Amino acid sequence: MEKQAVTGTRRESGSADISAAYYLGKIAGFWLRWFFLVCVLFIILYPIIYMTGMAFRSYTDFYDVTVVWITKTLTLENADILLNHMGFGSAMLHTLIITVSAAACQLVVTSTVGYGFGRFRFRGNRVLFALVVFTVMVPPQMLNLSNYILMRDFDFFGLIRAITGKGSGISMLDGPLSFVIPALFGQGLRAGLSILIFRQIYASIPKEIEEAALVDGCGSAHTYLRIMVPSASNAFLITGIFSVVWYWTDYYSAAAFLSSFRTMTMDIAGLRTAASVILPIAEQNAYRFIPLEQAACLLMILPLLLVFLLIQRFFTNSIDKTGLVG
Amino acid sequence: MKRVTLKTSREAIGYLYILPWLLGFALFFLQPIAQLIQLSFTSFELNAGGMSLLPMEDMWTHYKNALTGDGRFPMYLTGAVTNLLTVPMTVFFSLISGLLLSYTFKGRTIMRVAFFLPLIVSASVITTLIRQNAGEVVMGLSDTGSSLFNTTDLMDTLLESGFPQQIVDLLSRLVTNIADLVWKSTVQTFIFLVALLAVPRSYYEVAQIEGATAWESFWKVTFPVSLPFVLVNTVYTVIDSFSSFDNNVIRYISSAANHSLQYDYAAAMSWIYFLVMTAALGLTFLAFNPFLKKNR
Repeated sequence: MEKQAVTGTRRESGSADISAAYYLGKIAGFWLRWFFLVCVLFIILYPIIYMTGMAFRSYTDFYDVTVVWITKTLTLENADILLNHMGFGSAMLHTLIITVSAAACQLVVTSTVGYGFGRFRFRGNRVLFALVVFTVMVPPQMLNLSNYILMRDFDFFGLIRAITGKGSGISMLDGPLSFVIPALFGQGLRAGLSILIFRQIYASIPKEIEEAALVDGCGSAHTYLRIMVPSASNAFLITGIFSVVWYWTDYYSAAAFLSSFRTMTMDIAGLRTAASVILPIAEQNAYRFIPLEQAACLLMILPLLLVFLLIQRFFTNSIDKTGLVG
Repeated sequence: MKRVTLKTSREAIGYLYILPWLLGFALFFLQPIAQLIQLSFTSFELNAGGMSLLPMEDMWTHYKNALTGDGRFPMYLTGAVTNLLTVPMTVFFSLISGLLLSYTFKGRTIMRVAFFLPLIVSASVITTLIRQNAGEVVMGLSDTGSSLFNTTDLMDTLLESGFPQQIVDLLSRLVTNIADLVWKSTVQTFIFLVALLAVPRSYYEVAQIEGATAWESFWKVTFPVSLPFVLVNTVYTVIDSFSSFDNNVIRYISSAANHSLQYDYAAAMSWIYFLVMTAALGLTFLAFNPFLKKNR
């Protein structure tokens, strides 16, 4: 009776039918949702299970035909070899330095550039924005050769030569600078996508909010920092996460610009060569290499998963949070 | 003294905001791109003194070669274009996933992490390794398809239990395609999640009070609000499909440049490829233009 009364206020006629259909729909929706999510989960977890199964596998278990997915004896020897004998820890540190510095620069720069594109009407806005999209289209592999030459003798439009007075620029190769400087100028890894996201987010925020702040005497930079940035907090989260993941897992640029400053992806790609140096000849086979490689992959993805786990709960309704509704 | 109007000062501030990008574009993009253009019209030679670029009689030689002389490049190119047919499906799938992840329900954290995983695992190094390793020690993981998900075991079981070959084939293709879809829609899913979270709750409350069903409020509230991001995601999906390291064209161009050292020929192929990509993206923007104008 009570339910009927409630739905009755929503619609005048056929309240009983509507409530039955409503609850049926809810139940069907619930099960459909879970069916969908579990199917997807199964597909996604497949390689993870493989990776985990291999990473903790001991050398001897490979000769045991009864071992398919899960090892009989869980071992940390793979991680031990990687961290204590192959210097994977320092590669992790290098990757961390590159990722944090470059992703931070990328986030700050692409958000301001996206704001410029999304909020200001200036001549050439559309053409320049088309060029932003074009920069994402070109795979970094194709620009790496030219950029290598550029960074070997980096000279900011002749400025560095003018300041130091020397005949050559500075080399940015083999260090985090080769990632940070492009990011600082909006040319980091897939920076164009971040700009695209920020442009759309800023363009979709109601104009009145910004105008009200401007009328109240809030300067442009002030309006941007105090009003616009908080409204786009979710966009900051997501592009931040994307940038972190792309820098963390980047291989092509790292292989092009770095040599002794090794990152995790470089170590993983060259793992077999490096392992051959420290392992006895009898053990230099796929059964030894595969667990090592998969353990390295697991070590590479775990920090990212932890970070995401901590951050994902901030994905909330941003407009309600900043109190812009009213 | 010239008076500065509000409009021109806004314009100047706009340029100021995009200034870092403009500088970076000139520095890190224009120069390499100019070299790539020059390369495609010349003959590249590696000799004792380093490399040299020689002018050719017919500057379009490499382009003509790529389109008519080389049998494989046009084939790969058509393959890449055909792949675009999956773009609408991918975008729609990610919209549904993003919508589901935006709800509050038990186990949402696990689901969000699970949907995030492909973004990391699909990194070139990891995918290549898993495929390579699985090929060395047969584990039931595919080493040919672009997906990391293998259906062989499942399909064998179905065949053995008497299902007709055609149905099993169809099912296998369907499952592989869905797996592919899941792997390729992570970025889009999270972009949609963010876009949907930006919709004020009050919109839905109003729709509910007005008597809209869930279906109606999806089409009247969720869809219009996420439309600008449908554009972002379509653009991203097109680019991703064209530039992923799995792509045959990219592989072919890279191998021409890195293994055969035909930088000039690789550059010409790249330009043909960019032209096709630009056409695809241009069509995407044109298709979205009428909808987006209305929203402003």
